[in-house]
Amino acid sequence: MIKHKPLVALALASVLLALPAAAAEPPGSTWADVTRLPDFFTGNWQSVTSFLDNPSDVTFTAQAQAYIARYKPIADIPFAGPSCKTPGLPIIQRLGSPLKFFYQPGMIAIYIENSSMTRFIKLNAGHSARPNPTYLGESVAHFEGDTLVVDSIGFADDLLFQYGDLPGQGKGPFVLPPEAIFGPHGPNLRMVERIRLLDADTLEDKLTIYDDTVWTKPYVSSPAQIFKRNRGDAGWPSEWVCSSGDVLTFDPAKDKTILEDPAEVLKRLQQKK
Amino acid sequence: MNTLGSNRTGIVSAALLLAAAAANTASAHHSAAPFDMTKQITVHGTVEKWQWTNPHSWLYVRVDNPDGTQVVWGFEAGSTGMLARGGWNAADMKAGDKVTVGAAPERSGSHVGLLNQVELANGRILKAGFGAPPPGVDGPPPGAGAPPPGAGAPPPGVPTNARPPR
Repeated sequence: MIKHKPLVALALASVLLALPAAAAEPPGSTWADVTRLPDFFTGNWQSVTSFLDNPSDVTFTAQAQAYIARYKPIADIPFAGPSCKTPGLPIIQRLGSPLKFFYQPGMIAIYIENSSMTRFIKLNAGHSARPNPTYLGESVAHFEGDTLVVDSIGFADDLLFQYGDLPGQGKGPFVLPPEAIFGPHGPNLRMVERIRLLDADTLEDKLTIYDDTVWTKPYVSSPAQIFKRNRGDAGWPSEWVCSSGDVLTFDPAKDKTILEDPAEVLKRLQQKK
Repeated sequence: MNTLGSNRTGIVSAALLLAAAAANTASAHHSAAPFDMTKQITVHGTVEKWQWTNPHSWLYVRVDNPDGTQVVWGFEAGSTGMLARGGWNAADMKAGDKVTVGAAPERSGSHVGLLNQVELANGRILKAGFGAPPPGVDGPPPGAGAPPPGAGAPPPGVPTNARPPR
């Protein structure tokens, strides 16, 4: 028995040495972590907030001011066209149908039902050296307490990118496309989201945008996006394919809403069948 | 006013409801600009097609006019996922079914509306045609929801029964 004591001591020492290393693993590193993370994962999250911003404290760069001076409002967003072109982040997450969160060690994924796009967010990792441009950007994240902090860069040039609202407009709780200023973003566009639960069934996503070609200081998206949780059958994600060929469509090239006679559309649909 | 077999009633008081609500509800595909969310029309007719699609579902209804002519109405509804969450189903309606439709009319006076609810021939009423509000959102009248608890008070002058998005 006595002769085993050194071995037992060695094993104990090894365990003790290993503990600090394990404890240092940031949340989101193991399968077990999912039980300790805030529950973003049960059911899905339905936006109850305006999909466009009404910011209150925006100061534009001279370059942006010159752009705004020439700006003509748009009648609708590109997503309203026949191909449902995505507006990209952040607007695509806000368009009404729910978000569904998934977890695996080192990753949180968000299925955006309203387009069937999925965001893949690396946990506890840095950005790649040369991210390719995408509509959802390249996202990395970590937990600060119960808040998931998501940092995104590498955006496509043709995001639907909101600078602010037109003077005297867009001050209601819900902002329409003709009330908003959209424009090109700069090469170093960065979005930082702070996502947390306000209560068991309410999720908040606070967004700050960094683009020094547009604003003289970071742009705080307002209002913070609020989502309510659907559970049970309603919390199950659905397929979403842009296919209807509507009576009402928007032509982004002509900036015009096109209204067809329902009788003609019906005739076309019945002929197709 | 009456329009050719359809009973068009400018109802719904709640002008309030809505620019706001409209903005979000119709945002899934296009904004609510084409629709007058302060009005409600009621149309009785026969289903020609119930198109269960994204980004919007569409209900086509043939209406008999008093003068013997007919007109086809098109009603825009929510995305399939959002309708399903509200208890709707692709099999709820088929060609030949008699229905009574409540909708917000398109502004130019065309035979197009944004669907609020459908009453089926058996008396069943399908509500929240733009998509059901999430749990915790106060029980709305047909087609109109409320801001969720915890979402903060609406700004001054803004109604508390704004419609949730779909």
